[in-house]
Amino acid sequence: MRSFTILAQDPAVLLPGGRALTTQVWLPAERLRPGPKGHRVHVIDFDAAADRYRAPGTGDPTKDEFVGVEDIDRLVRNPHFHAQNVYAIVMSTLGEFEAALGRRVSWAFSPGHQLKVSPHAFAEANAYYSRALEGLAFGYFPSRDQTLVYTCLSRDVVAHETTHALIDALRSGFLRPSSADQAAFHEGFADIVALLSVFESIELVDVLLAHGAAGGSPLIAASELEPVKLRESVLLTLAEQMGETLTGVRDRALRASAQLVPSPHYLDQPVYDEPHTRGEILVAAVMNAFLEVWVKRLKPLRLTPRQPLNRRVVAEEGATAAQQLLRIAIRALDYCPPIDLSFDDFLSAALTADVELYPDDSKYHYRDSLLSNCRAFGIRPSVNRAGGGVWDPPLAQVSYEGLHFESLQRDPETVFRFLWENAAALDVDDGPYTRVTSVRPCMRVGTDQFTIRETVAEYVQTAQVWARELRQHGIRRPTEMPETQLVTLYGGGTLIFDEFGRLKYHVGKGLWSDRQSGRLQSLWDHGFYQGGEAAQSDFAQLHRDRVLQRRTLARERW
Amino acid sequence: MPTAVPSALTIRTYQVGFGDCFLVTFHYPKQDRHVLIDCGTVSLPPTAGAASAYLTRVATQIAKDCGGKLAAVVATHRHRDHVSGFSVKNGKGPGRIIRDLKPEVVVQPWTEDPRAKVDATTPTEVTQLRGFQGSLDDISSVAAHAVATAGRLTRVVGSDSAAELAIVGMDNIKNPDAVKNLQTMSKRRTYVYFGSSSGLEEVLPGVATRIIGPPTLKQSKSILKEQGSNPAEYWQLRADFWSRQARAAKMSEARSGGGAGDGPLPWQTVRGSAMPLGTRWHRLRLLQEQAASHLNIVRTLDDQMNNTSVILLFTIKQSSFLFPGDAQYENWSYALSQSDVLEMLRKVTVYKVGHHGSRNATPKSMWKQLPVAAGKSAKRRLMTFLSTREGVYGQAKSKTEVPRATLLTALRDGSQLTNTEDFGKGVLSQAVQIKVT
Repeated sequence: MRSFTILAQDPAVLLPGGRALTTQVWLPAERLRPGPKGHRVHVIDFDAAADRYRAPGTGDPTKDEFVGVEDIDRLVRNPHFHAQNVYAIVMSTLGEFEAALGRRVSWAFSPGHQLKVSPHAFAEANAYYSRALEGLAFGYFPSRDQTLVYTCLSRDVVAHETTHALIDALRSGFLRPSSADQAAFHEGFADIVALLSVFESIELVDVLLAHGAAGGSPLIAASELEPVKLRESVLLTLAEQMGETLTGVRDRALRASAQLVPSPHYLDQPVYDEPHTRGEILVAAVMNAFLEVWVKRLKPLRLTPRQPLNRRVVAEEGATAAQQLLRIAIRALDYCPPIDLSFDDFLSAALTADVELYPDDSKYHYRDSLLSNCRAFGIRPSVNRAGGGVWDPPLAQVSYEGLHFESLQRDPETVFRFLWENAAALDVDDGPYTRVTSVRPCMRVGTDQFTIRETVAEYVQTAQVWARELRQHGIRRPTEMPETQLVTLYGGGTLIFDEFGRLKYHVGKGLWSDRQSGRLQSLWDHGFYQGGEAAQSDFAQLHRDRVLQRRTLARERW
Repeated sequence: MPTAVPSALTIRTYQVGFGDCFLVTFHYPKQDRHVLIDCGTVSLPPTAGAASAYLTRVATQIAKDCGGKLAAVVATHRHRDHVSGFSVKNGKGPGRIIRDLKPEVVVQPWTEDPRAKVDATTPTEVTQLRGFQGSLDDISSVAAHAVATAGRLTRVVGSDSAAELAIVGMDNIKNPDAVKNLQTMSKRRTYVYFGSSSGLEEVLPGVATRIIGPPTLKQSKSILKEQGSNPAEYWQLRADFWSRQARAAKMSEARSGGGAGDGPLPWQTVRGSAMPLGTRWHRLRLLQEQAASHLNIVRTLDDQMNNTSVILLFTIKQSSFLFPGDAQYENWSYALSQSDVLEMLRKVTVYKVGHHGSRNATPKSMWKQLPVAAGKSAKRRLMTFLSTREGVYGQAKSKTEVPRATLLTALRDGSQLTNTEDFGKGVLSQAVQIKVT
């Protein structure tokens, strides 16, 4: 392993006296070429606005020249630091995903192996992931006082865009136009990963606590260690320090998490149809769970309820809580359906994934905190709402006859045969076009330190029908959609096999369900069938639409 | 003594290609009074020749058609395809001819009020947030940058997209001489908004003129609140967005030459073409993404400028005549939330098709209010006027072509359509007389 210096958040979040607040991230000690260019990430400093290229330095890219640098200007003015900063944050985010999932993650543009990252890609207050670009692009722009602002120096922005790339790698169907929840999930989840990654930095949390209610003392009073107080002293302080410079580049999720009063009614309001705004609800629920768990972790450290705690210890517990929740959130992706995801599905997936790895949650009650805070924001598990909210095991008996355990762990043909033989038991219609899109063996370490092997396989079904045929399948046609409109319906599921090759869970979205009615109506309202719309989300434009709050009024168009 | 009321109207549609230019003549018992609504183009028919000379011909014809005197000029919004005919260069040009027709009043949207500058300390009659006009200026700067880069991007995005970038960008560039001419060609100027007086009451007796767009920021607030947005934040975010875009565009243009060390960033760089072998694929892809981004930004700013259009409704007896400029739904939404406006729309006899027949500017909820013929054989009471040019903007494959095919079919089937695309070669204008009932 090898460590690299990065900014703990961004150039606006500083130590007392205006000193740079940096932190170290540990990465695999791979062979690095100038760029840096490693086996998963290639930093290419090309500026499309000016059609100019900055050649990487000739120094050894494995040597971190910025350890202990406290002069923020020295870091901001040095393009080599910019390159190191993005490389290290992207690699560290990838590392978080791989550690949580227990396997390597291939980029969505596979067979390509290296994500291309442009730290100064264009002159605009924007940053985005693009599958076509096979990479991430970060903009730069002059602030009001003409100081250059570099989006590649903001840890949350870099982690956010990297997460888009990673969600796309794990669930490529989530970029397909679908429900309001699915579009919002990409944004909300990317924010959750970005913010929890930031709070993993003990140095940063310590500084925030010092800035906040604790007033710089090495001790923090017990009265300050409640979720409502930490929300103010940590979330709000960070939101305020980050300032307004990057409004429009980053979401308002942090501020929303600090300020949104829990209510189960947000998701029904029209303003929360917009993906970023809707995503804020998911972020607020998870960040509130984070604060709650943090406080639970602090309680055993106090001999009496009023005993103050050492600030550094509080920061360390916060960073641990952030990391644990981050891993729960990431592992949930494996237990999500491959298409038409709802927030409710995500919650069930997170709870199930965590139960599988850590059945005993009695110490800090991560799952209870997640469940109660999600419920407070109107997100309820998709299944077993009265119980723990975890996915049901398969109800019918499935057959493994003719299947081989070894190939079931990695071979799409074998998984397809499993589906074929068990179509009735799994309630899967074998008529439509069906393909197994991935088979991923994973190895995770449980609380008992034994390894848990699982295989996660996804299949997707598609059917093309005329709008006039929808009714016979129990699906409502949007009122204004012509009967001659050709419509593609998507279904599919995730199959989780245990270490013996037995099916543990089938998280399916049937092709013929009334769910399609809502999806078609949403697509119709957003102009998907009127052309001119991207077949996949265009993050660059999505980010602009968020700032301008543009509304799609497809029903008014010709 | 009863007020004189026009017995008929003549609407002259001038062939300006992709642009608007209409002369509305109100026939009173003893005299005619003429109102010019817009005069501009961004793309002329191929045989028209140079824009300035052609628009001078159009202006000369307007002067002839109005007998040397205009009652009023309405400039619906500042887009070039609506105001370039008001340009004056060195005391000459089409704008000079129109100026000499001595309009008694000039009508423009409230967003053009010169007293409402970014740093204005004196409130005008319209309540507005600081920075709104500033953001329109920012939009113009961004547009100018898009035009400047369009040529360079042709090789990476293809000629269709580059042409769209250039033409939409060009349309949004500030047209200072036309703007100045409009501000000074008449002693009376009105800057209008939903529900304000039009300023046309005195020059058009017996005609009820109603302004139903654009809404002021205050009026927009009620719509925004209905949608759950915070109005102050909404406008501030928009202003900040365009301000940042304009600063970035300005910075990009400030770079010089093409040698080492040039470029907006404060460190040594080399030309993109000199990139190492293993990175060249990325250069091309990023240039393509950058061009697509430019196009999206330019489309966005075009929409925002369109939404400052004046929507003007003349009513004489039981007939109404609707001239909405290029207003899109954001502009229309306030008017469509008012029940009396919906009632008036049902009496519309003439509809000037919004934004050259684009898919966004004839909101379906508005169209449904108009007395559209129920079938091909039904009597077509509604008359529609479309000034456009095919192949200039958008593409049929993405259903963004202007004019939009489905709208054109609806116009042909449901109304008596006058379309500049149907004018014969060399025909400069077409007049349609309508009796007022």
